[in-house]
Amino acid sequence: MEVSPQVESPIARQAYLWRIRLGLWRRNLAEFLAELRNHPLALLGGVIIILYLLAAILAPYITSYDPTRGNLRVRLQPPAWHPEGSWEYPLGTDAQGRDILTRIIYGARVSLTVGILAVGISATIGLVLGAITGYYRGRLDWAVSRFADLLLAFPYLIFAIGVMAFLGSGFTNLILALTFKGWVEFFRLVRGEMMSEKTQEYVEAARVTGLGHVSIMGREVLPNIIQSVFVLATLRMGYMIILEASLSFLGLGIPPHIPAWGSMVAAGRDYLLVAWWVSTMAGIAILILVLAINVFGEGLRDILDPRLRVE
Amino acid sequence: MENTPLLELRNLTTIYPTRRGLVRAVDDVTFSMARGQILGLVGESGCGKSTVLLSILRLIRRPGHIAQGEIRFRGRDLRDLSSNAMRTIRGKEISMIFQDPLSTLNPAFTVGEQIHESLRLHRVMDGGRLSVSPRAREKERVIQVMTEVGIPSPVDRYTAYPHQFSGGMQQRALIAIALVCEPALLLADEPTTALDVTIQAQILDLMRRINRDHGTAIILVTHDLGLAAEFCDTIAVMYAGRIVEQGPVDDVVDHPQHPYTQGLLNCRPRISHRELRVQPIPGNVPDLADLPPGCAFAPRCPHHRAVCGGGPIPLIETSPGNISRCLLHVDYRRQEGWGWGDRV
Repeated sequence: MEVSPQVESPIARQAYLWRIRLGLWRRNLAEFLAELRNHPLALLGGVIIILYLLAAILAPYITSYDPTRGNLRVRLQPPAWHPEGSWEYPLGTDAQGRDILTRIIYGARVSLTVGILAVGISATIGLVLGAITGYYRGRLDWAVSRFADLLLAFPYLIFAIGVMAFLGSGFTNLILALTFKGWVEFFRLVRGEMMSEKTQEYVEAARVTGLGHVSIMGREVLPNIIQSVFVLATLRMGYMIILEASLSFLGLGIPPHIPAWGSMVAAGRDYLLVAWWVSTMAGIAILILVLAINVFGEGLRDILDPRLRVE
Repeated sequence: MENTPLLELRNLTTIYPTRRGLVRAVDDVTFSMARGQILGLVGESGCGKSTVLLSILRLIRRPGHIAQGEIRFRGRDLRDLSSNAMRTIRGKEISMIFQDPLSTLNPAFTVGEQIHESLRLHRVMDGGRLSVSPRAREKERVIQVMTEVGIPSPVDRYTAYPHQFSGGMQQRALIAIALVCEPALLLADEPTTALDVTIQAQILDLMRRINRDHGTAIILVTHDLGLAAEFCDTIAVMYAGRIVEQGPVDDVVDHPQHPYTQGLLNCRPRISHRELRVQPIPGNVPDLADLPPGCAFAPRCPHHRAVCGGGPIPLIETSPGNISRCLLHVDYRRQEGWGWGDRV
């Protein structure tokens, strides 16, 4: 009996891998949703996040106002529950007579896109670099780790302000500024987990069954650490949104004509004494979303961490 | 083909460079085994018996490496194979099971999936076509293997995670992973050391049944000479990276030739001889980075003489099929030009 030579079609192999992944995801998702019922706060957070997402996607269908063009005759109208307010403008209007609710809904587009993109790109870079350096170690690991240490020495906001001042404001530059340092947390997390997982015996056992290094990294170890990446991603998402708002508040983020929560808070600053709602409403929108994301992230950690799982 | 042994090691030497010098973890190990044979590699921890197994699979971690020797499996030297070809051998032709089953199983996947994975990996590698083994038939095979290794209600256990299994069941699952591709050779690295005595007996029984039903050859690595005596056909005793005695199990256990083997047997507590005190071997395992030029066991040996430290000692045939690495058998007469790899 001869050992047959390795004949392997790359397409068949990929199809096979995706079949495994899809199966795993489907099962994990069903399990996850069932588990979510035991964490009412996380569930609430998840629902709020979905509502924000829907609002952002369906913005033109929810409100008929234009977020950028105001009506100067209705400047600084108070919210509906105020004696002088009206339901025409449920959360009032700003100094240029624009509906605040409309601007918040459109602003959700900016915040969520920035949050998802910045975290998504950061997580991807961190995951790939962390997995490779943590698995192979060596000189590359040393170089990337020292660079990460260097970046960590700067306070995040100051660093982002510097990058934005250098690149100029704009959507792409904002994402760049946020990911430029944002990947470091993911990198450190994944690298550390990879290093500790690599010493586990199941990695050795995987070698014994005939798996290669890349397969071990991607198919054996990654499923064991991807959950902490998810948790970190949700927790970082809220932070990124606040950072975007802070930069926009300082006039360094999103260009002023695009509605963004941070610049809304900044614009309302001058009217705080006469029209507190201009700043406050946008601030509350940030607060609720970030809170929802954090609560969801905490719940996610409880659910995904097998050590905390109740049998 | 029929006459070629299943596995043949010739002068296998595996070294690990360390700060204190080269450690020859496996030094000039030569043995061969036939299809369906059970070989016991016995020795204290650190004597290189696990390294022999990892060397066979070519999984020595850098900077350690195989310095010389041949690993002939079915007549082909595994050292000549490309790393891709080697991967098709691992898990399919030669499987391995480990001491601690829980840490060997991947916590992120169900037991069924892990058995399935090994099967899929090698079937896909073989044919390159998915149609070769439809999912349902593969799953059937997984259930069949789980039944064979004695996992009760395998259909339900398929979707259970490793931590939900008991230690014995985990080891059975590990054996199922190793056996699902029906390898010709199973390497067992202290497979029962972490288990209770009763479970230990069950696992050994299972392995013996597999050996009998499928003709799977087994190399059992253990520090327990008594266990090896019960389970193996042939025993090779290792000390400090070298084989010091080898022969059919009955000869080695009933008439141990090498003083180290005798010492190991005296260390073993026996219920039937309660009046005999356990006699430990004095001294410690030598430092592998700093071995004496002659017999490594000499400092602890009750029979040692000055000549023992003089240089390499060959394996000496004490009776047909039995070899022992001790000058005692030649009346302490050393001949010039003897090497560690020689047989006289």
